[in-house]
Amino acid sequence: MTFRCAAFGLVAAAFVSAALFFAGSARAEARAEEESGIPGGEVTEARGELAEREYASVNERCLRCHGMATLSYQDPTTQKTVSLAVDPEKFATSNHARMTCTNCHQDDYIEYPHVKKADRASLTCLGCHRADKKTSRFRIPIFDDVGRQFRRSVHYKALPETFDCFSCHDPHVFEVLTAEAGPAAVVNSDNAICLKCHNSQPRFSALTRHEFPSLKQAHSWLPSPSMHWRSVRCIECHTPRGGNDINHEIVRGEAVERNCVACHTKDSALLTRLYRHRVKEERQVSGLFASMLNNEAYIVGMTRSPDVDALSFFLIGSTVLGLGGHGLLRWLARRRRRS
Amino acid sequence: MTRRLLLYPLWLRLWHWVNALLFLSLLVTGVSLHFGSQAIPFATARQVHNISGLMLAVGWAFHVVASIRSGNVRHYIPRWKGLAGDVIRQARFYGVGIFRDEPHPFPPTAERKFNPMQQVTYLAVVYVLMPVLIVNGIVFMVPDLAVDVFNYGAIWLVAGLHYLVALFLFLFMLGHVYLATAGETVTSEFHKMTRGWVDVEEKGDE
Repeated sequence: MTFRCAAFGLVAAAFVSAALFFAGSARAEARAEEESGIPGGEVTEARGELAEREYASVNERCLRCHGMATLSYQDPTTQKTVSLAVDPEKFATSNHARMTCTNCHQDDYIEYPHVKKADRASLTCLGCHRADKKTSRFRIPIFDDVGRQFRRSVHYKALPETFDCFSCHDPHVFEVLTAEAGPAAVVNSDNAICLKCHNSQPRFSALTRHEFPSLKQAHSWLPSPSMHWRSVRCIECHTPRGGNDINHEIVRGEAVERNCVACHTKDSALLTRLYRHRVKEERQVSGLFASMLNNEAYIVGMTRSPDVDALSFFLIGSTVLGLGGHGLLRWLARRRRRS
Repeated sequence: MTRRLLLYPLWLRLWHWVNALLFLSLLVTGVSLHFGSQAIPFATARQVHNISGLMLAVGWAFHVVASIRSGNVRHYIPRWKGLAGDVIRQARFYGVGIFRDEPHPFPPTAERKFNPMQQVTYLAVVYVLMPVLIVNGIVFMVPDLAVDVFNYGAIWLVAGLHYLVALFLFLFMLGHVYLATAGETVTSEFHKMTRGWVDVEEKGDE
């Protein structure tokens, strides 16, 4: 009887824990989605089998030509060769991999030859990337200010006609790295966007007649520039503080952050930017192991262990007390000897 | 009969006091950098810390070379045989004898100016802790070096070690300054390190 009860109890416990586990993982998924703002599950769930087939067939049809690396044409006015190729492999790993080509390139393109002339100006990112709750696919308003911020950026001010989203972001390739990739990979991938032009005079000069600024010269005030470039993103200093963590207001000159302590402090600006996804967990489990092992980067003034600090204060305090006490005893002993 | 012994030649005294000032400068700027304090502007603290650190490294190299050439290094090498007993005897003096006005168990001689506790401590400080601190300080200045040498998370190791060694050196400094008042008189040890000489009582038959 006791055995049966125990067996029943065990089976019941197994069911309950399994249910709890699945509920937990579903919650975790929902939370991850909410935090990233990218409704990964939503698109796939909404898209039925039919849609899946349509997706494959549309993209396959487009990539039959546009998947060729050499597909290009010569612009009759500028005489420049314009590539029309999309790398199918890169597209498959990009953030837009689940979209059909015609989600952005409107239906005119479905026929060949394309009815409408290729018109880059008609393409816009903010059509989807906006905060409007009814039409947006993004639940949190991280893209709210992007348009406004972009119009305040040095790029738009210098080149209002030619500089657009696609100057930096290639929607066929663009892939936002997740937190698991680690800060080094995020830094590398984000800085590559800036360096595409800022490290290449031909690319820079193709955009503007402005003098090609030397990165080394511009950063000569910064200690260990190469170390900084490997550890933090350009936008950490080149966007004003206080904006959201995808601030698109790129600034230069005086507006750039030059205060070392903005980052080199316990309440570092990096915690709301580069390390934003780590802040919550980091603050919960602060201490030697959290700060030393979870953190790949070392930042003077920011990443220090509260445990080691406490130990230091304890050691210094007890040393001072011990020595002071010893001195006091010596003084008392001498007074007694004299009397 | 008293004999005047020059135990701390001028070069040694100069190194000692310059080193002491550099310790203070590194301590203040190091603490400021560690806590990201605005009390000393970060850029200034960094520069002063770097320059002081380099000077400390140069001074340390000078001290080691001069110590070996002049034979001063012999004072740092403890007599290993019976060392534990000697250290306990010295510790007993600080724990008990000093309150009873007992004589110092190991008065300075030309061959052994440090007591066994000093020998062990100074050997650790000058020949172990300081080189470790200097080497990882230099790695800090050329952080690319650390990444190439150790790979993942290397700078953390360097930073942690730099901090811990600096902490121990600060604790040493506190003890060192206090024990400097525990000589024959409260100020006699300071006189030793400023004038350089010490009067030694010698027994007639020796």
